[in-house]
Amino acid sequence: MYRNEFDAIGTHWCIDLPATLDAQRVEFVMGKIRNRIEIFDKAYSRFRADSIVTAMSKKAGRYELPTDAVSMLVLYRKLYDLTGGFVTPLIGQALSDAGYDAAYSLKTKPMMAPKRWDDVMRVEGSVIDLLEPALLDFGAAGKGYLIDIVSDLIASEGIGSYCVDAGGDMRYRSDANAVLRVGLESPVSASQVIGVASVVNTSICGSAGNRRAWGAFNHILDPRSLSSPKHILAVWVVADSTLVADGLTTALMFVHPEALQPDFDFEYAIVYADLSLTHSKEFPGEFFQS
Amino acid sequence: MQNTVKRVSILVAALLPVVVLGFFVMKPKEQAQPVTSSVVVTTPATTTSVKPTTGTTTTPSTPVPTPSTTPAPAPASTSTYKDGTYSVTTTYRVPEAPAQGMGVELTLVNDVITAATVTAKATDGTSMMYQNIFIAGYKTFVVGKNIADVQLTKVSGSSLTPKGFNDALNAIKTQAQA
Repeated sequence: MYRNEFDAIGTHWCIDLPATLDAQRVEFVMGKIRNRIEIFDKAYSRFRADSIVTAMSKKAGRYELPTDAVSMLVLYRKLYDLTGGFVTPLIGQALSDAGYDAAYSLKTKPMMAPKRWDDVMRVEGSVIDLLEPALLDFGAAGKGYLIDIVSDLIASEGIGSYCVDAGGDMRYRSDANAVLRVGLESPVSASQVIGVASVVNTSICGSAGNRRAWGAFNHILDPRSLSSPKHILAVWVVADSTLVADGLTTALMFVHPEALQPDFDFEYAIVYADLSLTHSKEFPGEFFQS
Repeated sequence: MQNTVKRVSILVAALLPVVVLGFFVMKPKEQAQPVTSSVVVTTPATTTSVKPTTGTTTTPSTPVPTPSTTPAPAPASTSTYKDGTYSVTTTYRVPEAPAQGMGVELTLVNDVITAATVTAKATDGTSMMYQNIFIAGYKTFVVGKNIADVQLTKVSGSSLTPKGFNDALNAIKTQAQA
């Protein structure tokens, strides 16, 4: 197995490719992957000055996003509606003001609740009409989506077995249906796990506030209270699409699984502030419990 | 208060034999209802409110699987009991009311209880209340195991943070200490 590790979009990537490939081919595919990640980052990152998202934060108007924006925007709108606005790309400015800004100042300025989606933008396909400047944040599902894009790129090269892991969110495929044992990191101790998910040919994403945290905040922000949710310590979602799995981990910080189950096929596990656990009946894994 | 303690202890005392006897009563194949062969942890698996102190149980001659939730990676062929989900309804006596029922469902994997669900079936109002309190308090809590002690290929949790973020955080910590 070739293990390719690098840092991009603010996280650590680990892409495993089969040992049967020759080294040159791996290098070629990895080059394509790095380019693709760069294209994605340049469009959607609010952490870089030259991105479309940064341009949108400065000026209203019509923006033509890359065509890959469609699936992501559709998911965001769906989650926005299903969570009553709790999951919203318009959270960008509040996150930035909380201190999670392009310079990682981690200094909190006065914050304002994000406006309603329809008051700020009209989305049609990959075109966004911004009625006023707005700092969008695709942190809730963007990474998962990029994992799907990278995975599809690998698959399009005729490679059927791989693992694309970006900071613990991953999509895994195995021609031999080999099980991948994924430790579920303890939200209170990064050197411990509270269970193990056994995944085959699916995606798993996790969300917890324990690492990207400063002051009273972490990278997940409640758009109404403008505070980070404290009642849930960690969420994992297993789904066929990494885009969906990633988006649902954030959605589950705000709504019960029942609110999302009619629209999405997924398994979940949630660890609450008292370390109690709930999970869906078919969650593929085991948990260590007292 | 005296009555409360009495009722709760009756409830607990009634439940334990069910959990223990469940294996033996329901072991026969005709009553076993394996739901799926690849059963995973489903619902609450610990008995935080149940203390194994009562002596009302007939001591079984075979070792009883403890409600530990760390499924041993033992081959299925060595299991004493067939993997699956088993359910039973029990009744117990309470003061000043007819006997009350309660449902228990257990999931077994490799002789280990991986899930247990209790369903309130009381008809008496007071019993219903206590059964609901019992069920509400019957939740499981996760515990950590050192990553080094668990065989893993990957770890998923909070995303590793970018260097810039960590640098900023460390800078702030340093400032705060100054």
